[in-house]
Amino acid sequence: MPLSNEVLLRIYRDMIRQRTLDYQLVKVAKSGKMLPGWHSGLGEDAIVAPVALLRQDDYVTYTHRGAYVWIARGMTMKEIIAEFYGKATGCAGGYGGTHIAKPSLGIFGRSGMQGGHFPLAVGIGITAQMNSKGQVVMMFFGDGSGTRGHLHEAFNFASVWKLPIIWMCENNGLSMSVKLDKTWAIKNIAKIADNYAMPGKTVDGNDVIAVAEAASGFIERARKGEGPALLEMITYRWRGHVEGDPMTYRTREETTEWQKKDPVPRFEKVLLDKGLLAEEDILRIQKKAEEEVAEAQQFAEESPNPNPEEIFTKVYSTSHT
Amino acid sequence: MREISTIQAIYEAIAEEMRRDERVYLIGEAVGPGGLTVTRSPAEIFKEFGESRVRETGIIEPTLAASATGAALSGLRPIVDFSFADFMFPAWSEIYQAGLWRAGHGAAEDMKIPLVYMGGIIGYSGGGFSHSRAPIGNIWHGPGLKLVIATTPYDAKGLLKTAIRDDNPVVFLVHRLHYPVKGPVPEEECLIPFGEAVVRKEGKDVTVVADGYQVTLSLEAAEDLAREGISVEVIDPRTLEPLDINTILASVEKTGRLVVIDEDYVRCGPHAEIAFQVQERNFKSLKAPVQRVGNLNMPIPTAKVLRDAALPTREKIIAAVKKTIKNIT
Repeated sequence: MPLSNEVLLRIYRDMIRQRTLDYQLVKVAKSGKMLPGWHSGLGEDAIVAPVALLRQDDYVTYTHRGAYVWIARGMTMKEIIAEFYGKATGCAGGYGGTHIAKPSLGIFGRSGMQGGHFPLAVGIGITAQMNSKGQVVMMFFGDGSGTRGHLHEAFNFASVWKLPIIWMCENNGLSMSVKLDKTWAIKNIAKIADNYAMPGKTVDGNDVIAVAEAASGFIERARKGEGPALLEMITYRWRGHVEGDPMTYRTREETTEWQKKDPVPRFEKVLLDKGLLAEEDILRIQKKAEEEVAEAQQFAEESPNPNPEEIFTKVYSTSHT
Repeated sequence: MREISTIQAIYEAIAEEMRRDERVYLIGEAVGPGGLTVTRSPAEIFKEFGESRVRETGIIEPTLAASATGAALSGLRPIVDFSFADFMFPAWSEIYQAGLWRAGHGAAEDMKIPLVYMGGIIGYSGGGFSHSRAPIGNIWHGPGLKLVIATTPYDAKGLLKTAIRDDNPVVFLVHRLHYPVKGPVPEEECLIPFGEAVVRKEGKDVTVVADGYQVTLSLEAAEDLAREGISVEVIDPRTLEPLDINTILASVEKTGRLVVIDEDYVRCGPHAEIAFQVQERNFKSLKAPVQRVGNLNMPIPTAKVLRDAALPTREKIIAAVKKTIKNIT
């Protein structure tokens, strides 16, 4: 399905916003002002694209890497940065850190046990199916967490029950520091889709249009009740697994090669060629994103700390039906 | 009042709640009418609600546990039947996660995780080290989980209905030896609040706190002890989280002696937690060291003579009570 100009521009704006945020948090991580554990997604930025194709009432699960999903779903920079600062104004009130949640936007949180969100997505898929409103679940995972047995359980039962889930594999070729040929017996993970009786496709994960178009077909299919699908996006992370990673497992040259495939200028060229964007628009969008991030960072720094006297009130809900 | 079995009471509660709220669904391996386990759902439930609300699965314990969290977060109210409580072990990470999720995300937007994990304690079955455990301590240790152990048909129905309506993850356990036991259960609506212990037998010399099948064994032991002139009070907490410590404290204040019986391993078991809370809150009420009876710190053997050596028995409970009376350690 061709993507509308409006959607393309939205993808671009969100891509720049999330990249600007990512660059800033890489810097702040060094300063020690925020909580440890920023997993940069720089280089994998095209992955923001498919989230723009979702409906307001759809659901997403995210990985620990980058800020794509949160930004594209409409979370504010303020509630994200404040959470990474451990402040009361963060989306999880300083309790979550990298465990970001915004249930009203279909973002329910993240398991720190990688791969824990495969079965979580199955449950959200059961809700989507039982609601009968054509909702879908977009579930992001990496080649690293994909080696867990949870993938098998979830893929199999999502297909048995024809749940509306799009399995989005960010294949960046690294399970922390371990390369793909040491963790997977096959090169392209999408190949396994056939074993679960669902369609699978491998695309250039740095090509926004390729990613979005492939996702679009799978989303429509899931909405019609035709079941799950697996989209593998081949990409590369520029930074380490987490800020502070000395990256001894790869060469500088390898990273430089991949940086030439930067998804942002590639997508900019498409938009410029289509006449959807002019050079001055690029500068304006970038400047606006920088202002937004700076304002949010100031907000986070000035925000109050959480109140330790409240900690136990978070554990149990006091309500019942 | 009519009498039904504990297992009938469980399925009556499930069917009533599924009728009341269409967000409630049942999921588990072999929950369909053809299931081989004792907790399989009766054909009528399957027929009434169909396969979208009675979901039979394969062997996917982690997915059973975590999918329930996902479904609950997005608005449904799942009941997961693990069949044997032993089958919670492969899902520990995900069961704990259900309890950790809310506070772990700062209760963002007051998120709710209404789900029930059901399991049968299969102790005294000869099932050996992996098919007869009572993972009560494991569950109680997990923050954010509630823990129910029902011991009568009435409690099973009333506590399960409360569990299904609670907006938190609740683990609901029943011992398999209680499944066929019949007892009075009202036909009208019955809900039992969490955190209210029951004194199953009044007594004045020693307080015995017991849960699950140990309530039955403790009541039998109390009868034997009564013939020797020892008056035992038996308390069934019914829910460990929340725990009605006040009822226990009031009893110990009266008797001055405490024995805790639980089928889990004694090391780091529920016994230690209950005993600690009593000494912490009212040390002066104790006239003798607290005794505990549980599973020895070893894999449960299969042959009857061996498992009786490992698990709590009536004789061991009697011996523990007498030790507190003689004030020996």
